[in-house]
Amino acid sequence: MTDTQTVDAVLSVEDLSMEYRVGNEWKKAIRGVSFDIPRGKTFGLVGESGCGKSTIAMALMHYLPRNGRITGGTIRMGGRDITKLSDRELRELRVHRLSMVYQDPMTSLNPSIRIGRQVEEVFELLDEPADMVADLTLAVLQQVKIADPESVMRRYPHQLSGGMLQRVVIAMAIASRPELLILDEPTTGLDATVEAEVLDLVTSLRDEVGTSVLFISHSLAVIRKMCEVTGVLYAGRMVASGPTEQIFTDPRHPYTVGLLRCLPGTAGVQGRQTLDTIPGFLPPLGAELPGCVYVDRCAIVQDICRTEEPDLLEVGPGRFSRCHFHELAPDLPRNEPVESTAVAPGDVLLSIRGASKTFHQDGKPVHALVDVNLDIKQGETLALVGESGSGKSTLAKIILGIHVPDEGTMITLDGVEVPPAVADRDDVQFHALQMVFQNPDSALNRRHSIRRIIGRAVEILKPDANVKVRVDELMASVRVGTQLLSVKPRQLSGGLKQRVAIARAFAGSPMVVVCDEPTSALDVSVQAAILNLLSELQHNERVSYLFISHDLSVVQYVADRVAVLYLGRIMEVGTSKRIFSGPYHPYTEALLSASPEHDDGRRIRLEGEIPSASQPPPGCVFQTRCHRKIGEICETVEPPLVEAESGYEIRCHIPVDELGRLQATT
Amino acid sequence: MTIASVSRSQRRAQLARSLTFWVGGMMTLIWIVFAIFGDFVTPYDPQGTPTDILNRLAPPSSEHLMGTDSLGRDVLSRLLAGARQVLIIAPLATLIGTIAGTALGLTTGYFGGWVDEIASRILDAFLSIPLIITAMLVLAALGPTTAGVILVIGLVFTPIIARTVRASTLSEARLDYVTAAKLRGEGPLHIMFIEILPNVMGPIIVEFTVRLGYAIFTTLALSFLGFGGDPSVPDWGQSISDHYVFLSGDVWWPTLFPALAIASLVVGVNLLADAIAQVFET
Repeated sequence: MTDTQTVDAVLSVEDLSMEYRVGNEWKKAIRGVSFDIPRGKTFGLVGESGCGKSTIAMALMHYLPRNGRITGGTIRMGGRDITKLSDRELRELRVHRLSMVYQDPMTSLNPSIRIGRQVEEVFELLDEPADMVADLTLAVLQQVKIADPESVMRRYPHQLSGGMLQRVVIAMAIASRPELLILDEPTTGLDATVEAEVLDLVTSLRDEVGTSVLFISHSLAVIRKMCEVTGVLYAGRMVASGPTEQIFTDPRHPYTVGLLRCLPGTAGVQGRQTLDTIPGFLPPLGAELPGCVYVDRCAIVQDICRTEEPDLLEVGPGRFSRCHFHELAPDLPRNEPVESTAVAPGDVLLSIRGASKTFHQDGKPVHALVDVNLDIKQGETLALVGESGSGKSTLAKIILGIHVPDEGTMITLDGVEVPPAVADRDDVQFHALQMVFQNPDSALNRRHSIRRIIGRAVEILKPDANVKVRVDELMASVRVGTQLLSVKPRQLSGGLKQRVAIARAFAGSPMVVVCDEPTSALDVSVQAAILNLLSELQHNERVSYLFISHDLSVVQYVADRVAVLYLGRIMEVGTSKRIFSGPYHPYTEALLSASPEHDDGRRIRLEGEIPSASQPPPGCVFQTRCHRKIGEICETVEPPLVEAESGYEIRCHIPVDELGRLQATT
Repeated sequence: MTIASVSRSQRRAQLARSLTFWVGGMMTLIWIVFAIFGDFVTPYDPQGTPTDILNRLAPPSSEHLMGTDSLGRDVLSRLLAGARQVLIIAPLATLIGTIAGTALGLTTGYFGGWVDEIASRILDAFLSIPLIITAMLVLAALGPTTAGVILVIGLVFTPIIARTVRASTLSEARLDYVTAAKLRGEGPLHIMFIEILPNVMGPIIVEFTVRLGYAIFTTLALSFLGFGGDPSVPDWGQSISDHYVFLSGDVWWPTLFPALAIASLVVGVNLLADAIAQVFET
């Protein structure tokens, strides 16, 4: 895309190279990247962590960390090179023409200043007349669709939810009506329903304000939904670029092909076949890469790839691929053989009856979980789905004994009642119930070696085993080389850490493993490998999973059955096939509609946020946000959870047939 | 959540580059050498001889570089020998306080709830009484022996260190590796000392070095006030307290030199503490 005349670009990056200093060495991070952001359009930058997305964003804003420098290339905006501007000109540029929104809104806002004041400051910087500032602030907050902006202006950041804060940050970013808005993972960490709203907002603001957008994300689904043009980054190199739809439907670079194949959505098969993965790892920062940057992981690599770096070859109108053999890319051989890892579920293993949990907050009861009944069969995966605050994690913690449930809750494992508190449980129950956590950084003791972490679990959970033999066996089953036993977790990549955490959970041959968002902190290629590993372990050991995830495509891939929770109540439970094919509970319908993978044009957006569990709405708890509310009955009578079909239960006043008819027409 | 993960070798390298660390280290090391070998390098017997009394309060001269004190003993010799007393008491006291404080902090931080409530309120009450007053009260009751001084200073430091360790433990106890340990049925002692303790060593080491400076000061303040243990042992605090009355008679040397010794040791230890704290906090 060096040919800039054909596109009306708001910003052109040409041959940008950057380095970071690590110790006393300068290491290459960005290796000659060029792209144009077309005016009025959204340009997506996608790639896995460490490939340089955020580094490029920082370069565009010219916010370089102290150990970073630009070593070559130009960033042109309105005919001027950003890399050569003086400090004063840069400030001018950032105030008027460029804005950026970061991932975590909490760190972008000052915790001790009221929201209103922080937004007003932006207008003061823009030299708006003092008597106009308050009105402009109100207007911009309305523009980002904040309900009741007056009261939001009087609050402090910690009093608002993540989605609300991100709206405030976006309001501040568009206040100057910038020519270019840079969004760096703006919805990572938000619930899917909130993410959908924020993404809608970005699209509508782009058209209203007439700005162009650079959208950075690791999520292929979000990029596909948001961007007209996309660039795929790998190891600081742009390996493919072009119109988004074409990149996704007809990828022409082995990396893009590999990434897309890692997505569970594209496997799409029930009966669960192994996902394809990408072998190997991203080359380290500063590595010397004389040939193609992707050689070490490419399945169609040839000798020329090792010695000669391919150019960005035009493979179609406006489409480029940096691959010598781009015409072979779509037929990339699989890295993983196709195997079915489906398990036929056995008898009921874990049974939960009448599970409730009431927390007390300032003396007021908060009903986090209300009368939940669930069964998990041997070898089965039951997924829990719902927004944050729906009670998924509370339920998992009750099963594990970390939270002690209310009186009347009964959990039985293999027909034996399990004591509510983990401290009262016996060895058999410790072996049987284990957990894989979301964040492996937090789950592994960073001062202990891998050998010690897994070894200790073996000593305790499998006392008869020879520790060394069993540790080696576990390392082999999670495919981590035993040479890594002596290292500390910090020296491992995220995926390897999660494998170690899985090995630990499997030390004592567990019966039920709770997986709490086990892949949401990982890149897609790593996610695919971890999902394959979990399926394989389930296949070999006939273990049951309670799988918590906000990613519906992952749930659809792994789950045999799905329970949808809202405000601590089960709204719908049934086989994965039944839940995902509909007719849906209105809440499930909204969740599906919000999920970027399932976006099929229908837009059901949940209004506002999940209500507080300390004051649940009267009647059906979902009625305040329900788009299919039928009337007074929803506000007064809580619908019971009824078995509408064999093995399928739903909590709604609308009969299932009627829901089916309604959903077929909209 | 970002979890600090700086390796030990990185920390060591950072310390080795720190000027503060080297200056503080040298100042402290000199006094440690005197504390160990003081007996061999003192020009005179620090305890004095019966004839010294004839040469009392002699100003600095080539014979007595720092003059003599009110009993005619060589000030320099007593200064060098005096390092031993404080460098035995202060580190031992700090060590006792750190160990007790760590155990207490881990327990209150890990268990939380009413254990924490009760212990924290008692510690708060304890901390509201000035340190020296508490120490004097206990020493008055126990009698001022060296072991008593060590114990008392250790005791008054315990709640301060416990508070720091408790705060670090609170945030560690929320991490999932602690949950994982509970899920395999580990007991609280294992979780506190094997799982959590290695992860809160940073703040404990920092607290130890900072407290060491305070301990030196407290030791000398107590001996100045007459609670210094064995009165026959050379001691900087006691030297000052014995001689500050002579300041009005222009006899400054038996007071000034021990005071400078105290200052150099405390500054040295505090520089060390600063350097170490910086390494652990970045």
